[in-house]
Amino acid sequence: MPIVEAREVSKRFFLRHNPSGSLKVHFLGLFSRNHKEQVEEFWALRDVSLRIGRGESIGLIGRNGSGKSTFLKLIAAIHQPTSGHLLVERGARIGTMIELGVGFHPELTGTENVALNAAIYGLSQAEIERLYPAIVEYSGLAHFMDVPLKNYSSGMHMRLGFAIAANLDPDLLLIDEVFAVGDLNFQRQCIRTLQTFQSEGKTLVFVSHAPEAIRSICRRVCVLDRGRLMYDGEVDEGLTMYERLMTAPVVTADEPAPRQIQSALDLTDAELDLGWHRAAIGGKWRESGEWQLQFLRAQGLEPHDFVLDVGCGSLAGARVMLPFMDEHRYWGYEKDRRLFEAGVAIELVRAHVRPERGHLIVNDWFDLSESPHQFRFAIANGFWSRLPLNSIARCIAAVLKKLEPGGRFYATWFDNPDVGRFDPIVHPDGPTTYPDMDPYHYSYDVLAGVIRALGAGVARVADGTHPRGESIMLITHGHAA
Amino acid sequence: MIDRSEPLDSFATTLGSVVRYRTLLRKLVMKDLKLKYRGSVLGFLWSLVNPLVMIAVYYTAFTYIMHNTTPGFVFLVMLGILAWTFFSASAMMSTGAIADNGSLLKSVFFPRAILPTATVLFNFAQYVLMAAVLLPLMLIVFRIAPAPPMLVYPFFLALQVIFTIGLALILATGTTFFRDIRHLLEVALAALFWTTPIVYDMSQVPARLQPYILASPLSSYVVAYKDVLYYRRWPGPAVWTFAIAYAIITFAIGAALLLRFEDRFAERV
Repeated sequence: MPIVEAREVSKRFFLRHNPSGSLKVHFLGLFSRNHKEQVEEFWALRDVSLRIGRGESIGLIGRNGSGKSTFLKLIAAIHQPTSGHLLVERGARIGTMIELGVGFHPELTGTENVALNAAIYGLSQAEIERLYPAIVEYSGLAHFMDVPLKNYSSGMHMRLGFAIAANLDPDLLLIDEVFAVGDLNFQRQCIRTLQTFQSEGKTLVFVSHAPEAIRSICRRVCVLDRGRLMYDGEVDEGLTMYERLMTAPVVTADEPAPRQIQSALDLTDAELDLGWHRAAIGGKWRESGEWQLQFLRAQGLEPHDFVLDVGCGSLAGARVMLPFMDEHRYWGYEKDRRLFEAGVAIELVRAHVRPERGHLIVNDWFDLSESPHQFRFAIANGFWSRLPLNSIARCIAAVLKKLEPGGRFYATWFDNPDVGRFDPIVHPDGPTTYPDMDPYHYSYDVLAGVIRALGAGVARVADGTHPRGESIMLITHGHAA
Repeated sequence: MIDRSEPLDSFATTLGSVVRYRTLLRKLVMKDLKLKYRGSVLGFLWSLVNPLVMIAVYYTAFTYIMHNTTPGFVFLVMLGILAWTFFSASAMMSTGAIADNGSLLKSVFFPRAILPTATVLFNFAQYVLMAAVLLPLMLIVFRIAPAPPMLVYPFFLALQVIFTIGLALILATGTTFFRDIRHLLEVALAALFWTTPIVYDMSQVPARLQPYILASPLSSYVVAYKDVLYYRRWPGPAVWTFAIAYAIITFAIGAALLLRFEDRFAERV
């Protein structure tokens, strides 16, 4: 039976602008909007599910504000979940090292502070007296116990705080990066202590930014990002994922990221092939990504050319193109943030491809201004089938702006000469092309009309090699085609 | 398994956990007492100075300026001032009991009711210390022999403690949401001081007003102390009723408020 079980736990905080706590604000707020307390929602945790078994040592890692500390505080009963269920074994003694030496008072002596601090953790007088010698010995501060705490150095302060927390003998210990501030000796002592805890079969939940500390203590890592559990499993893979996240573009909008990311990671590669993020780019995603590179190479793409992958989607193209291209020559654009995040978190991590070799742009309005370059090649592989015609027009206009004078923009799409019929196209090798949405499949004439109206040239490319059977067109400046 | 998404505590479990954390309660009271007297030469004697000066001032003002001739006036004022000091200091301190302990609330879990309760018990400890010195002194000076009604003094004292804890829970909870409560409290205390028979005696109050004065929250306790310790008589039924009712009702409201809102304290402080 697990000692802690989280079932779709979410936690919402309210950020208070114009903070109230004052009747004045409430009173003026009745009359004036400017004086009203502005409350902004902030989801520190979203649908986090995980089980922590007895004796496990779990590392929680993630960027600042990813919800790690909040999760600890929910287990410790300092905050309550907004929704979901967080079950904690009844009667389990929970030790918290969220902040060391809380309630320490500078005027009190070491001895008095030990007693007070231990009492805050719920110990009785008899227990305090029993543990006191061990705490003093552990801290190495026997000589200073009758000195007021104000005369302690900050290191001694912390040492005493840790000595108390370390000797409380909890079943479940929650640690929040408390010893990052100590010197090297102190950190080593802390890690040794935690390893001893482990060997005694205690459960540790350890929040840290330090990969070495996590490696030396934990057998399992959970990666949190913006309140969501992105990964739960092996330490090495988790830390790699964390480094990815650190270098990934910071996307700030709070749009629900796919819950499937987490479950998808427990699947085999074969199962992953059926994953939703791949379904979203149609069947044969892997072949499609590989085809994209083959095709562009056949058109003369060299590693040193600047290339733009429009609608890089779940990065099926990026995973083969990034290693092929020279550094910083591959640029990807994606409109669908969910798809993009799943791509970075699953495809690139699994393929051991470093996204920082290239550049990835995510936004909703085809804004490519982030790139200072003009591109020799651009490709929209299977992208348009998910866009309405006005978005396709916008997409073409945006790419044309970034296409160098002799540059070539290839696009694949399902040619649908019968505009009256918008039924999904059933591919012989797989399911319907885009089972999750109403597809937009236009005829060549419709698209070519739009492109010419934008002042660009367009031509069909006679090439039947696309794995999904999509048709290909070439768009260029002017009427060169 | 305990579900953290369920409400934190019921009334009974809170009472149970406060009892379980009694060591913390005692340590917090001891901490405040130590901090108050450590490093000062006269130590605890300073605590006697404040009520003694107040008693002297009121005695002078009422006897020589207002020509008050109530017998035993000093003793009566002392009983009132001690009860008042305990009450008003507890109320003022309790407003910060939760609001000013943010880092503590955000890093360790313990029953939140401990903090306001500890401030009340700290002030009560001072009351006991002062009463232990002043009460025997007065009884000897005024040659008051022990009498059976004195036996209920601890009972009324306990009621006042319960009443004050209840109020402290209300104020501590309220202040985390409305910081203005501190200022409101100052005004309310000034009014309460004069509607409580502290520097005057119930017998001096016009009969028409007596029920109203007795209904003032602190009056029943002060009247009871004066009755049993100075007049050596049993308090009347109205005094008993008010004293018990205020204690139970205030405590019930305070406990209910705290239980209702304690899960939000860590987010509000």
